[in-house]
Amino acid sequence: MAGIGFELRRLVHGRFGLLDKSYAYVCAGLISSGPWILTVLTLLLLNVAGNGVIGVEDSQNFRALVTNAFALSLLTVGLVQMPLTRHLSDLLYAAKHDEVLPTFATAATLTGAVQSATGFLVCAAGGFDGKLSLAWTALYVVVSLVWLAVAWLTVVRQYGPILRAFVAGMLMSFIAIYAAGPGNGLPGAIAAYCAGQSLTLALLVRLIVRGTAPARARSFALFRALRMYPRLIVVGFAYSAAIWVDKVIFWYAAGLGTHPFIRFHPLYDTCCFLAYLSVVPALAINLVHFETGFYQHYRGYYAAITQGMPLREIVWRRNEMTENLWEEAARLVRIQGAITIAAILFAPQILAAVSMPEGAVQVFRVACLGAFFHVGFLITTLLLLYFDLQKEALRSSVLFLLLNAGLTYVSVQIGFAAYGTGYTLAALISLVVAFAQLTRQLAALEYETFATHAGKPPVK
Amino acid sequence: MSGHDIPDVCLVLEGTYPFVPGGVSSWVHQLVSQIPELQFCVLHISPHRGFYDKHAYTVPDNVVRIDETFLQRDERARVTGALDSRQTSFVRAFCEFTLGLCAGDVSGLRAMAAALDTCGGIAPPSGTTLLSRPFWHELVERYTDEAEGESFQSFFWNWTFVHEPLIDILRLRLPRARAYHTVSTGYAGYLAALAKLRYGLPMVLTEHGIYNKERRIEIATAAWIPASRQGRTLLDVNAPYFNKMWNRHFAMLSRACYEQADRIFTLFSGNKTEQVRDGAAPEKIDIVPNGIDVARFAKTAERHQQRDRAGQFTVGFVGRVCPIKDVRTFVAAMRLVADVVPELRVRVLGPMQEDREYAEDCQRLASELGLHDCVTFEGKKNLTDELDTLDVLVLTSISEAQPLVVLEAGAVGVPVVSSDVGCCRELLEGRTAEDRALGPGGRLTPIASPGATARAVLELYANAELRRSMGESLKQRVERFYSQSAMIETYRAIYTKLTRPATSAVGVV
Repeated sequence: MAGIGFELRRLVHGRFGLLDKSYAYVCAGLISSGPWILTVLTLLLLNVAGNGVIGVEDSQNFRALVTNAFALSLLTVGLVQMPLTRHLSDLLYAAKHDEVLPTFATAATLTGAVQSATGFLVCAAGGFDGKLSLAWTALYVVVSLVWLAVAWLTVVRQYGPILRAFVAGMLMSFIAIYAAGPGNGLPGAIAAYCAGQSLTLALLVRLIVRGTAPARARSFALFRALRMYPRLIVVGFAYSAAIWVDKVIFWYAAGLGTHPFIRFHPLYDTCCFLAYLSVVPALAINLVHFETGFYQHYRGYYAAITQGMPLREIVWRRNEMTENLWEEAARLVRIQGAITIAAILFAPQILAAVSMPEGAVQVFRVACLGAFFHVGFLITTLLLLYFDLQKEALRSSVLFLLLNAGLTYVSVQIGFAAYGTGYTLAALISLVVAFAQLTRQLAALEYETFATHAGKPPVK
Repeated sequence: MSGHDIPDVCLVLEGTYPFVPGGVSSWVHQLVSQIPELQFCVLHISPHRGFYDKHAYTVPDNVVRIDETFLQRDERARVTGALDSRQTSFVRAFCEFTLGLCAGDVSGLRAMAAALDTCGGIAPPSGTTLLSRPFWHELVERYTDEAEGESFQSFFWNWTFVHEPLIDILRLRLPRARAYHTVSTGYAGYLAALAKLRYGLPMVLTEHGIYNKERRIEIATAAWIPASRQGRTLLDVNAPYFNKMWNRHFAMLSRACYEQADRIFTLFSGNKTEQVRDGAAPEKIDIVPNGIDVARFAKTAERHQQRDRAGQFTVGFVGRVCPIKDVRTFVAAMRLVADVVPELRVRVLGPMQEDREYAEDCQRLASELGLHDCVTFEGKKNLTDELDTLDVLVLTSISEAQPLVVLEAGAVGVPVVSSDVGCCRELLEGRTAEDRALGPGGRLTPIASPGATARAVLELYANAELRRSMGESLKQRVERFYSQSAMIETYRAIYTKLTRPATSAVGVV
């Protein structure tokens, strides 16, 4: 992730004016939280578009099945995504560029195999018929590979083509769904949707192959990475699981759907997805400013150490870095705060635009607040990982997962008036805890740097 | 035999017996072999596990056990969370101790020994201590006090590397014995001092070369310090501050050992002067010179007395052909001698491999000075076969401790012309009044002085009676004061006193 910063700064400070600047922001937002936003956008679009094409009942089942595929694949790929990203960053730091592609090949082969098996098992357990099993498993495998590819896209750093790959895939999905029409039923719609995602995957793989050094040999070093960073596995899993756990609780405790594997809660789901969209600006700002401003300070701090500077210079640079961090955080709170307040104020209009009932306004407002805390929590966790405070990142991720599950369950029991408060409270508490840990660690950063990392930057 | 399970004497050794051949190792081997009635154990400090794979000596049966501990264990244990109370007490004691070392105070060792007790005799892994917050705070304080402005990273690594061995060697329970005998200061001296404090038992030190001085020379050349570990930054020991840090460290380790030692023994009074300067109490120090097995040279001495000189005057040089022996001065002196002595024969006996370039240089000098007919470089020879052919032995070394070759020449009755270094004056002129009464065993010359060396050799050439009397004096001196058996008896008496103190008259003999 760190490598993108340089390119982005060029974009921001380039002579392209406002348009290119905002373009950079959009790219940054999409890459940093690509899978998340993609999922949300797709699901929302399906919400609007699906009904007309394949009938109301199939449409609901269709959305639930796609959501399932997304949730389950994000969860499982989330197990390996963080250690792999870290491994890639290690490879690049060691200038082993020729291992980047083989690592992807190995990881993709494995992911494909494991997810195919998992997909069929899920379908068998759910009693899906042959056609549906095939279509759903195909979708499940393809999106798993897309999530996996995202880690390698940080190496490629071609934001335009990456964005185009995602958009092209989405367009293709919708065209295919319309082309398939209602005649082919649920399996047809899913297969059509899968075709679009396959296009995205193909374009992304092409970008990875073109954008990385020629392969030297096959690489199995990634297994070492998995063993080396066991905490990152848990962090990645807890992070993905926390995003879905409240939805799953809603599906099963208060949701709809006749099939045990095809459950949904249209109101809560849609409110949450919309709320997620409201924090995309925060993610984009985070990526652009943290990667450009903060990362410079971060590197300066470690350079002071490796270049043999006196302690006072190291402490001075640490303070500079910390101050910069607070400035960035304040900026983030200001801008995202304004957007979140706007979303809360204009909640009725926004919900009307996606034809949601008026009763959802309060749930949406609470969820917007929750997403605001959630994005703060996410950025804080990323910072913890930047300083390689894996133990702290792990603690707060698991805390968020547990709180989100527990408090959401309580909120569902309380009833409609409390919908969304579980998630929001969980995000707030986790944010406070993670932030406190970050602050405490930053205050003694020199000690951590030397005692744990022998004075080397954890992220290159 | 003591008949007890606990060995009588624990020898605390560093990089020597029984793994590495050499002067100190041979001395230890002699000692344990020739005092068979006592049981010994050896606590040996090696650089790291697996560094030495086999013994260089056949260890006698009375060495009942050999324990090995290591300067670097590479246990990457790190503090996770809070230290437990035992660890805390150890870390605190260690910080106090190291703080004291910086201030020239070694009394913190006592608290270290107590903390070691609370840890069950084995220190926590070095990472636990060195990467703990208390140690970090002390490190930062030291840095701010002494090294502000230096590279902090270099300071961190130097400071850590300086202290790591002090903990790593304590990862082994100190073996029990009735008394401890360390054959150097440094890490071995530190361990022996801790053993004394921990078990309340006597501890003595024998120092052959002055450890602190040797380290100072090594630090100046700095090849021995682990230059870089995987991913770690180079230690900049050549920067004045870090050089000072390491020097002070070893000086303080020596002082800690001097302070705890009940008796200190060394080879000659020059060493004693250095020890006193490094903080040893002079009243604790006794001179116990090394001895040689005089009987081994009996036949050679006999041949020397009865030999036919065949019209030749033979001057010998015995030693490695290397700069510290200053062979060039010797060759130049021989040119001056050859001007007066047409029948001169010069034999250079000693290995030429150590510094080939220098050895070639010396040979070239000899032929340039027209000495190719009379000077022969013969390489390493068995001295019992060769010493009888010499009329005079010459030593031109720039530095020596107690050169064995002077004792060997004495055992044969060959007079010596030597530069006035190390304990050569004691060897040639005598140390005590009784010793001096034997008369001189040769002549002393200033270092790097071919003229003085040549004059002394010519004096001996011109006066056969002087040669004979000097050879005889030296022979008597070696037999009386530098025999191996005298040395062994001294240590036997020391050990007896230590292991069977009058106060606890157990009466096991």
